[in-house]
Amino acid sequence: MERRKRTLGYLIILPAILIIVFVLLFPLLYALYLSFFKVTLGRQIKLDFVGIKNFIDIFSDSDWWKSFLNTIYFVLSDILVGIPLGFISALLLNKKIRLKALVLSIVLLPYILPPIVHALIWKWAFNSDYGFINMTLMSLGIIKNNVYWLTNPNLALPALIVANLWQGTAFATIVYLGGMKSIPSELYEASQIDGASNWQQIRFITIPMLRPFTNLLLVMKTIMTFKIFELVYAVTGGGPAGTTKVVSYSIYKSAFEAFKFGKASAMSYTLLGIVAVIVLFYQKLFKTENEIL
Amino acid sequence: MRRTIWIVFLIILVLISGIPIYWTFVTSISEDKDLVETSSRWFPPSPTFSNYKEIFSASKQFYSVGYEFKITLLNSSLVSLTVTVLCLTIASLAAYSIERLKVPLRKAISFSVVLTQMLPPVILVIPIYLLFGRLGLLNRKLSLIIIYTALNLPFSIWILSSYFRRLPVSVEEAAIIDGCGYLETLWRIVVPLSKPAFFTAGIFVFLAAWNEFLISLVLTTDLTAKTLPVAIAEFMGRYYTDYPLMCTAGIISMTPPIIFASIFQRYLVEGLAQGAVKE
Repeated sequence: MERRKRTLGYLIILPAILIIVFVLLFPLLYALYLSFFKVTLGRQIKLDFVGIKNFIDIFSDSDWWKSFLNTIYFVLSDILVGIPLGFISALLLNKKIRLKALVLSIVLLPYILPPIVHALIWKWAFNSDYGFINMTLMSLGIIKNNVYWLTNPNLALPALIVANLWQGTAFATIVYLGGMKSIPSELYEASQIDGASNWQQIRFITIPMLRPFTNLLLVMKTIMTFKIFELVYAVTGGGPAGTTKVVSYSIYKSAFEAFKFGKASAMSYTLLGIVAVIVLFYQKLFKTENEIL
Repeated sequence: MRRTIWIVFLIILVLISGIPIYWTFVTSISEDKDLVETSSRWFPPSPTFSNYKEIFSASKQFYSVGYEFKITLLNSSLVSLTVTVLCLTIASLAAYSIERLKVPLRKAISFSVVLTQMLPPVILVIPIYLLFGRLGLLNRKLSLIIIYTALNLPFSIWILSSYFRRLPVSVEEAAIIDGCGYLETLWRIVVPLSKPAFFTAGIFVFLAAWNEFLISLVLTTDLTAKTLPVAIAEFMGRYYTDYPLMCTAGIISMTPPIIFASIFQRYLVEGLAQGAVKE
């Protein structure tokens, strides 16, 4: 009986295992393998072993470092600006509001958009001739001539960072809003009796109680924003003059435009390694409060 | 006074979130010439849904961008729906096997959840392109279906199995004593009791497949398998762009997520928060 149960168990989990192993794990290992080779595409795939040359090349590749630095800007802005803004929005929303469902839906929209549509919206918003940003700034008298947001090397990266924050903040809002619902209202009632001000309540109840959610956001934002791709691919194509390149985009270009599959694999493993190290670092940091992950 | 400040901030928040999307929508119902001529573009002088018509009624007779959007829209729908059904079916079997048939793979599943969440898709698309190319599986809807299923399986199994775990087993045991087979118990008792979990997992899987861009970009080359996001990106990359039509495709593409989010927004908020702290 027990044995038949087990056999059936293994039988019905088999499809899941097969798909995960063949479509996820095997390709991942294959990519790791490829990162030690020079790959030449022809009728057959030709592999020449080059040892760790691909990895060494990455370190001396100024292009890689530039896209890495840009990616860091996205991640840092998301953490330093997006998370606090998300917290403030959540505070604003965590009250009794008329039309709450509608308001909430609108505020959450940026988070659930398809990434490519997110890119489309902002490419259109920053359009120098017809975009609403120039139009609004002009009618407010802040600018006199159209600003070329996406083709000016000094402005393109900040513009993309703003576009990314728009989405990142919505995500932080959702997480914090859920977190605020989980704080027992007795805490606020008790503190009110003790004469705590609104600000003191936020400072000494809300913020500490939301610690696990802040930690979660740090981890999630790091992981998610390091992957940033669509926004750069579709809005600026890494330009102007390479000023908006990010890591995923550089990897994509090395693989599918320069056909350096070996080097691209090495780059993607370096990226994965960096993200993993940062996440492990967070975990060490949060060890005292191991409620998450 | 305090309340006024609060309302002002709330309105600013709603405007910042909503205006870029509203702007895209307004463009989608504007005429091309209005973009250049009118100064009050927030409210198009002659709103028209002709772009939407152009996409939905495009025919094969002569090639047009509208036709390309229509076919890729169908591809996207077909792929996402199939992935959702396939993924939930396979995941429910796997979750049942772990939770009730004592197959000791819970740790392995948690590991693959972390892996799939952390993994930049670009790392996967390189080997998959080479391997699928070798097998002659490029530019096929089937390939996208298999890959998206794989990417979403760990998460679905994880959601379903944590739900199954909380269900009382007594009903199931009674059914089994009465001679009901395991698979029948799963289908007749566990699945109906777990509707909320299937809902959540289903929405997440559908949206993940619907929104996916990079893998489809690399793996598909023409209308046999190309999905809507890829068609939109190609259209955005052209030198001359019909902005209203581009915005229309964008609006169509964001409709399923918007519908799901407005129906399930409360659930989304609470679900995310709970998932965040537990486990």
